[in-house]
Amino acid sequence: MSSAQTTDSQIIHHRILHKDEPTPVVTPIIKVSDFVIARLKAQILTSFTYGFWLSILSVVSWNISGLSVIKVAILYLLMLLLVYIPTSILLTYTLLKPLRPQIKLINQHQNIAIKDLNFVVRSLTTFPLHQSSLVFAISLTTIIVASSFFLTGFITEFEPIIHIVVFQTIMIGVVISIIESILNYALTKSTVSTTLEDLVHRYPQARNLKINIKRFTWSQKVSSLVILLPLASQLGLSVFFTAYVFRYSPDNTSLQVFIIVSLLVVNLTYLHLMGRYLTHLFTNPLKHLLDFSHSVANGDMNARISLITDDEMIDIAHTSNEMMDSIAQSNQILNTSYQKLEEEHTRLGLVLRGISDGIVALNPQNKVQLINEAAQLIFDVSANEAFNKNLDLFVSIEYSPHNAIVISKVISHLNRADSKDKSVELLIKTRSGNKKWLQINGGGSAFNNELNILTVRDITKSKELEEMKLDFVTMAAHELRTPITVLHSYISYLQPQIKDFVNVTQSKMLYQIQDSSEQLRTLVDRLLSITNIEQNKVSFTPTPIKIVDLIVKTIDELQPIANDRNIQIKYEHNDQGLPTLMADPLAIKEVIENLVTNAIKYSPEKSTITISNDLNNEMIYTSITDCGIGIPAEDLPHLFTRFYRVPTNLINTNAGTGVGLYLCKLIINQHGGIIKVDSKVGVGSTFTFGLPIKYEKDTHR
Amino acid sequence: MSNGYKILLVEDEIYLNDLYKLVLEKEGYKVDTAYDGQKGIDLAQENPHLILLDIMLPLVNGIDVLKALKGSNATKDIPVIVLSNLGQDSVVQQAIKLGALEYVIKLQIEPKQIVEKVNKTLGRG
Repeated sequence: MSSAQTTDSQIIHHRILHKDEPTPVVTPIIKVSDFVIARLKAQILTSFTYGFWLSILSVVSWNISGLSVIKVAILYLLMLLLVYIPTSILLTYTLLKPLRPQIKLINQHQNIAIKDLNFVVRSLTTFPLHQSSLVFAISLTTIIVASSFFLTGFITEFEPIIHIVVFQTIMIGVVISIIESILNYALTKSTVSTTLEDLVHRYPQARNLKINIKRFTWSQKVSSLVILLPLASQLGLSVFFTAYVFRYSPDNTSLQVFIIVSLLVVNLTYLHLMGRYLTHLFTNPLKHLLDFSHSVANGDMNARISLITDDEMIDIAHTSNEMMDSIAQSNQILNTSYQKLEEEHTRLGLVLRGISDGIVALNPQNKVQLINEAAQLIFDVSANEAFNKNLDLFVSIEYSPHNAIVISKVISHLNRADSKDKSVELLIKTRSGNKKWLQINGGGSAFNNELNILTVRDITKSKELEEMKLDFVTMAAHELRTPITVLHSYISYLQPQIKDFVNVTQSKMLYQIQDSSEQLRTLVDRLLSITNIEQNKVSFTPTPIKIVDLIVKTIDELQPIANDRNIQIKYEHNDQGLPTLMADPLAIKEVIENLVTNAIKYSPEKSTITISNDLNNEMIYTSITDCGIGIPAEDLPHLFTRFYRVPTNLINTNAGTGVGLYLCKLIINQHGGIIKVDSKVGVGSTFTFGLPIKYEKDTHR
Repeated sequence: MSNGYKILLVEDEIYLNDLYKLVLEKEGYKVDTAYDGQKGIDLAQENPHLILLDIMLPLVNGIDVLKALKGSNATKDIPVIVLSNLGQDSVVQQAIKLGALEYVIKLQIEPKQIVEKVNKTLGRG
């Protein structure tokens, strides 16, 4: 029965629940205003209906003479029971009926997240009912008091109209104050709900804040009745004074009017003040809550609710304060972490800015997450433009080693776990049409591969130089080779034919021409070899070789030159103990030839050159020792660099070209071996090169 | 003195052309000479037994000459020995792939060795 409902008052209680407590899936959509309006309609219509019937009753009792006071009182009572209360209930029920599903929904979810606003709705639907109970209590008290007057016969001689007027006045006052308190309450509540919602929006921690709705206890209901006692007494006193005046001054009309008017004013004022007090009693804590949520919504994290009430509002205050404490605590932690992060960020930013290489961080979809200034310059793009975009939008590929059409393919290739390439050279075109050679290094990743780090270097200049150098050397070599070929070919054709017709001097001259052309040929050949190796234009073909065979063959070939200078070449070898090597035979022979020729060249006449082999776990070593002039210690480190020649006066003829040893070093390095020299001025030099026993193709570039 | 074989020598360097022609003729070969690639292709139609081909040539370079020769039914069976001073691996590989019998670096060879190679190729060695 709804009258039972009307006496139930409810109040809000909320608390912060544990995170693991399940949040309701259903989010009821409830319009707060529907409830407020329905409730107000019910109140107003009830009052008017009651007033209407009461007026009819007054007119009837005024016109029917001889109607006893007891009969009138009974009519009042009937009026109350049959008209006011049923009308109120009926109207409330009818007007709230469309909202029933919503109420049901609310009842199903006693614990609903604050953001669903249910607590607000709940309180709004229950508070007016509470007000109805007030009306009921007032009416009841009034009836008891009035009835007691009638029964004691104090006002038997007066016209019923008197107390009808008084009673009507009281009723109007009550209705006004009730409406006012409802309006006050509703407005405050809806503002609170909005700001609380805002709070949740700003601080996700508050999402678990839930509302528990609790009913009024019996003691609270009694105390709310107690509040009404002075009101009831006042009503009784009003009736008494009116009756008194009419009893003892029946002819003094002006006094009667004054009494009625002043009582009307006093009663209205009193009721108004009473209503305000009651309203204040309920809305004051809400105002605190409102102020609090306003402050929080405005960012004041130090806001706390200072509220002392004896109802459940204090729980809201406590839990809100606790919530604020925990938010403040986590905020402090966040602030500290944020400061540290900020510092790190600044430091990282400075580092990234300072690096001349471009650095780009990409997510697994190859979208740019970070791009430093150098990379922005390289790709001709600003950080804002590039953020979360694919680099393909900004650059096109002109050339890539894997024929990739877009740069993200190249990057994906680099980042693939099984990819051997960690670096790739590309020719790209930027949006403004600039072509650039880039060297992109990939493979770095962070955050569980969520971020792939690339370093990018603009190698356009060095590439251009390289191309120019290559073109130049190719052209120069060819242009030089042609006349040398003519020279060389003609001499070698001519010499056997004329050797019988020339004298010794002429013969020597012919030999010198031949020797010079030979030197020129060697020089050009070596320069070309060096360039080819440096440009990766040559690939050695490792074949199984026996180093001993190569050495013996070279000695055989060089023996005539050695003999010319009475130099003995001593090679003590034991080819049983030496494993077979994987190496390019022509290249290695060139190294041996070079080193032995040098040894012959720099040895005094009638001296000995010793060649020997050595072996350890990794390499086979070949050493060529001469008893020549030696090389000063300060020159040793530069010996294998390009175009370096030992500055010495002792050698006046057939000086080295400065490329032989460099070529040797290149060849040996390409084979994964080592080359070194020991020398003492005046004693001689030992050149040693070692070749790895297990030579794999991978070891050369 | 003729041994009945005709050789086409495509070489733009006049001195070398003269010398190679001289040594080959001494050996009894009939030698046609061309100083550019286009002339080389033209003369190849006259069925030489062997072609000595330079790479760096005016008008049409040696590689293109080789392509033309190997692409034509009339000339594709004529053995070609490339004589060049271009030593890059890539060029050498390309020439061999196109069907050159041998790739000789002129600088590293004496005229008499060229004669030996020619003799050997024509089965006269």
